[in-house]
Amino acid sequence: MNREKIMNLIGLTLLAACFAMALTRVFSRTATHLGSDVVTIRFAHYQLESGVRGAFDAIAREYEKIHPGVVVEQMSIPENVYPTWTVTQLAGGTAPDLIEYGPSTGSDERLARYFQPLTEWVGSPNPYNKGTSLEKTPWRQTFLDGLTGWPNYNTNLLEIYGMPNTVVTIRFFYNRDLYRKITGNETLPRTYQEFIEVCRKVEQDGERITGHKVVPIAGSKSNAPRITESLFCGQVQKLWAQYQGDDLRQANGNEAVLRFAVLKHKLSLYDPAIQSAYQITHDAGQYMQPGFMQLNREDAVFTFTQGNALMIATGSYDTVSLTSQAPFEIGVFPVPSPTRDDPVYGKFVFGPATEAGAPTQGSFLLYMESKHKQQALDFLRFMTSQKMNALFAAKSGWLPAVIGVDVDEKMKPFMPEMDGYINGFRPYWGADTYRVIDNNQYLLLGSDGSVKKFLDALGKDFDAALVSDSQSVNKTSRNNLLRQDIALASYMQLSRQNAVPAAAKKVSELNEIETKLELDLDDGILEMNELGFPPMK
Amino acid sequence: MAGFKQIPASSPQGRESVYGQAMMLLTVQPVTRGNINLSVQLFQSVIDKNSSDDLGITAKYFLGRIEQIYRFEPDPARAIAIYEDLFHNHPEHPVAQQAFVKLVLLKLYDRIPDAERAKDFATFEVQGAKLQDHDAVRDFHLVMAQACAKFGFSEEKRLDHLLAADAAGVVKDDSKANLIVSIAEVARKLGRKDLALQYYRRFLDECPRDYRTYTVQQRIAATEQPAP
Repeated sequence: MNREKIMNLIGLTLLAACFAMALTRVFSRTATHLGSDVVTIRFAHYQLESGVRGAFDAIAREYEKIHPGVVVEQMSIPENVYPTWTVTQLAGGTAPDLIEYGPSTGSDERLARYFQPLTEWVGSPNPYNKGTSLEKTPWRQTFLDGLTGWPNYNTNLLEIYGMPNTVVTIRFFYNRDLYRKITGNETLPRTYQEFIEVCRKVEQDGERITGHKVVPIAGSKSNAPRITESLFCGQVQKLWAQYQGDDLRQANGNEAVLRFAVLKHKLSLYDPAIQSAYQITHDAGQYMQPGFMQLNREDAVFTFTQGNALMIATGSYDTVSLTSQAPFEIGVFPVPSPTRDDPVYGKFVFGPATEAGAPTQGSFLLYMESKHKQQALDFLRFMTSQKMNALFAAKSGWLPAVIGVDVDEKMKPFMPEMDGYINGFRPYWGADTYRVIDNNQYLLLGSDGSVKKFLDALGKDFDAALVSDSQSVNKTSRNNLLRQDIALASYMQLSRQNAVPAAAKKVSELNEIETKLELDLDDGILEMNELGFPPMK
Repeated sequence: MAGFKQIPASSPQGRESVYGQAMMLLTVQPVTRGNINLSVQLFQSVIDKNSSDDLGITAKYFLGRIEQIYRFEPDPARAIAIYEDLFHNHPEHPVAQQAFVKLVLLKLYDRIPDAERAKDFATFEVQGAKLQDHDAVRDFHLVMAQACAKFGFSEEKRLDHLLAADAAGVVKDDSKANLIVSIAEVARKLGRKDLALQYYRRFLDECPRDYRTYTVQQRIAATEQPAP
């Protein structure tokens, strides 16, 4: 028998063994649950960071203790396959009862089709908060942000879908030994200019002092935007104030006004504030390793934990992972954004942005077709009770999402800064504008990049992208409206027959939602008509 | 759909089941012109039996909705005609009053000369004063307030409409927060300090974790300062 045949035989044997093992697992699993009265609640997430699975597991076991007939299963799915996995499960009708909000679950279409709006339950207290300071507080108001924003509240569908476990804030993590070695002290930058001074010092003296190449900031396509978008938003605070309307709304989710302003030539990407925003983005990019936009999050973490970068910007969720991986002491400080007195970038800002309404995340959605919807909802209430969120925070090392939960001393620097101004807009106003900007980003962030090269390159592609994004938004608004209309018709009928006590309230809510949706849609259609683009069919 | 079809059209629930079939046809995927046309026929048969009861009026309302948003080629003019007819013939019915709100939206956001829009706006202010249904009153004033901002109508009128919407009572938390801030801001711009402060403070009381809290605190401080 030649070598090739032996290898094939080994391969086939391994394949058969794996198949047999998989069959055994499937049958043993079925055998466990079929024919028993046990209700199994499954929840899926992609948080593989240290401590998180243990935290969820502890909550599941606590729930099982007080609900003897219920088994709670945790499904940890790797982040890179999570979108595909979720879509497959949803399309196949085999999704778990609760699914963590992720990139594949967030579209309006998917939310409306596969997930149960939770709005009708959030106005009542969470029964698992009995005996706590939140006993009489409506469930929604037990969260730090009152579930007012993404990803828990959908501004297009005007419904609450997600129940969160944590608050995410972005901070700079720094290598304390390296910081002292290079700067000679541990005085942290309090202003943007001081921060830039630290970066320059690393560039100039880092290699000489440490004996190896050190970059100021470990960047990657997921870490870099944590800093650059924050700096960008700051530069367009005053500009956004001209567009935000009398309700002082935030930019996120309300970008239509900007798209139309550019299409009508009332606003240009060459506006001094926008140019300044891209300039500060370019500047920050120069302090990251070359080609960082091609790198993954893991690459940036590796660069930092190997001592080849002084700092990395990431979310509070990475605290435990980074401290456990790094062979050095880690310190934390907030991303220093320019203030009004900044000599270069102070002109366009109001001041540091508020983190009030910082998104509460790690949010679970209730699968519409869950066979145990009420039980899953009950578990969701349990999981997000004050006591269980405290358990989650303690075991995961993450910030809590629920009011009144004590925060560990080492997590206090991550607490959201409530005082601060409303932030400006991010540079992305839709999927197509994102694509055009992303395709040309190298002209801004590359070592020989510049704001002029970047903006000149966007040209007509950007306007075309604005048109297609505006048409897509109008189409989505119309589809959302159709969905609400059918729900409204059903509740009107139920209300008329007094069949469901809450039907009249629901009719009132749906009418209000429809009015808001129609205002946005009719406005979008009018704007597009005036620009010479009739509505898409 | 099958459930509705099982109920004979001649039975006491027959008319209601035809109405249900008409609604269901609008949800069947993929959406087809045939299903939309069939839905129109079914709604029309409900109306033909009685155009003045709850079901007849609601069926007519959805005929308007089909022309407005369900058709592959929407026909706003046809929708407007249906809504006008409904409101004219049943001005006290809640669904007809909601049809009036749709009518206001369609006409104000049509591509028409500014003078014509201003004239329509004035007409709607008179007609809207007769609305009684809570939802219609609230939604009408929200639409009119938004139109003032969008088309540059009077800020005083905008404030009146915002206050009227607040008096009617919005039910969604985020809508409420937006409405309270808007009233405070417009009042501040019009120099009505007391009203502005009242609403700024109400916002802090009712929306303590909103991202606008710090900005509103700053507004209160600035508004409380005596004029130089």
